[in-house]
Amino acid sequence: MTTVKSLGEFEIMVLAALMRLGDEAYGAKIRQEIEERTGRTTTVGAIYTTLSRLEEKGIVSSKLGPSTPERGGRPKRFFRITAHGIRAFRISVNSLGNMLEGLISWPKTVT
Amino acid sequence: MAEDRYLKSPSPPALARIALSACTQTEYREDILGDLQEEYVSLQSRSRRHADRWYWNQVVRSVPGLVLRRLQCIGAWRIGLLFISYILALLVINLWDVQVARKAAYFLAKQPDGPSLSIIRTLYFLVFTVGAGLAGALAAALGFKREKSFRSNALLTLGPVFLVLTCVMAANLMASGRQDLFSYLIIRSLLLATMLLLGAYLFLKARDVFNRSSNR
Repeated sequence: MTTVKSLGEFEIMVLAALMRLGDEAYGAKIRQEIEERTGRTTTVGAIYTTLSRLEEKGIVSSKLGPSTPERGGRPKRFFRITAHGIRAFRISVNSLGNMLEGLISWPKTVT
Repeated sequence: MAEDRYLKSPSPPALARIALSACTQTEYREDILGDLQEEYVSLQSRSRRHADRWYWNQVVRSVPGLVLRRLQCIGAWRIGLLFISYILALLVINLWDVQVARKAAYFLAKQPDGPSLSIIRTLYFLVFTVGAGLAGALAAALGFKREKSFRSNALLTLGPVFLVLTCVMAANLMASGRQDLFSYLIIRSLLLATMLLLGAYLFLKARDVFNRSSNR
């Protein structure tokens, strides 16, 4: 069985964005998704640095889509989370949840 | 019509694009440039200035991470090998310059009926370039990777050697207050770049010929 290393905070964010976007997950969309949901400004470079590392570990896979004129004729690279990636994501989120359990009481409404 | 709009739309700042291309892994280069261009096009329909500023901001903040990732992908042993090739190439050029080219020039200058100063200087340049060629060949032998193109190999292996030597020459001229010799610096730098590339190219050709003949 392959050992699953714990993922970092930004890696978890990128994987969560990948899961939300499904078949439409590519660099620019992932960046926008993270920015919209977390309010954290991030760069396409940071997204690709993380995705490259995750692809090397077998956590995500990628394939090239068709090229479009608004991208200057360059193709989009779509990313997908692999089965190994889903396991790594679950382990990391669970261990984070276990550590936080009982420490934070979430407000029912955001003021 | 929509395609016409995109074709006519201004492209992102060229310098930023070049800087980003130089720092990014080949595998993801086109994807990153494409993603940035896509967002740039949608932003510049509102304000070109804002879009330019956003693009530069993305590039400047992306570069450190991309460079680090590129170095990680290159691998520690290859970085070590590249570093050794830089040091050896610089050593060869300097040793050749001091021990061969300058000594030959001084020898000619001391001769009572020797050639004129301009001829001695030309001869010195010619002998100096042989050392640069040898250094280029040495750097190619140690630092060039077979699966990479000549251009990317040359940029990674010979580029730093060229930069170090040119900067040292420029600093020496500035320190000695001889700014009038900058034309000399330009000629010497051009010769250096040409001979580094030529030395590397000839070495690779010779190695190919040798490999082919030994395979027969």
